[in-house]
Amino acid sequence: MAGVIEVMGPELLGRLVDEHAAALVLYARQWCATPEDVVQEAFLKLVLQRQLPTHLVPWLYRVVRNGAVSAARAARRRRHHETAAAARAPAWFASADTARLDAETATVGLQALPIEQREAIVAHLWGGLTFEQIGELTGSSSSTAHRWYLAGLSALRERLEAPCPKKSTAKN
Amino acid sequence: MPEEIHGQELAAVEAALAALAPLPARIDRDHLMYRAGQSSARQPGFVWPGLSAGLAALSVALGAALVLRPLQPPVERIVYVQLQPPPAPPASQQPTPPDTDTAAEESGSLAAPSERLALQKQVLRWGLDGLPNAPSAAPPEQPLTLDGLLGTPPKPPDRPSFFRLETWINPGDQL
Repeated sequence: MAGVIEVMGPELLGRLVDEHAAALVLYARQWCATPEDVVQEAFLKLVLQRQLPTHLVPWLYRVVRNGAVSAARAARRRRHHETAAAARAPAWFASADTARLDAETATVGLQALPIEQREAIVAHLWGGLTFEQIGELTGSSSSTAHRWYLAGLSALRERLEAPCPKKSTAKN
Repeated sequence: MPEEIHGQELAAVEAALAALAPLPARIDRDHLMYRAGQSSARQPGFVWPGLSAGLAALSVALGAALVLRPLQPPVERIVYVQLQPPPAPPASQQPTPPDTDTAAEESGSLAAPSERLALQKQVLRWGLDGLPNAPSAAPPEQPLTLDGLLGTPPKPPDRPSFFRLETWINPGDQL
């Protein structure tokens, strides 16, 4: 019984992991506190497929999404552990000197968004999915996914451009 | 115009966000590849487990049906068998009913004391002649021979041993 790994070979699987694992982990992090486990399971599920999915990356995002939602449900049952994990939630982005946006600020800003807007932004910006694929993922239309994306960006812009108390005091 | 400004601002936010790189995934790549190979190697076939499960379910169902089936009352059937009467003997060989005395003698015991008394009186009066005649024994049937079966006249025995036996037996001298 030939699996996907025999069809695409370990090289392609390794390349997929290298190119998409980080974005997939970020995507899974929108729901659960154990995104690495979810992404790893998604790659293992890909290996167990008999046929290579037609749209490989969207398929991975779908599996990660389902796994992350399930993991979040399971974590909600273990309320105590979830609280402890949330307290030490790591940053979502790597700090870079060249970036115009602070990684922690971006993380906090994204965390404040509704899940639909967050999902659309993460899947489009870092996952590279089209709005049509995001619509298929979320069970909505591409225009709805685009609307969520724009609404999320607007909310982020307002949050990022809002003068902090220190600045406002200085201006005033 | 405000829409363009709004669009430009959104594009700036978008570009700023896109410049951020997600944290590298803390996935052990080698471990993942090892598990992938392990998983692909032990993909379970569903034919035999399914067949086994099906047969097990069938066995359980048949056993349950055997145990739980209602008891049926025994069915009684009456079978009438036509008995063929034995073929009647030919009229020539049909024995005539013997008279009482003969029958009593043949049977070896007298059926009734009155018959015995009558026989006794008859013997006392006529002597032994008064006894009823003994039934003549039936002539012994001739043994089956080849000539008899073939319907040919009997041939004299031509077995030399027979003659030798006759000549060999010496009857002895006459007295």
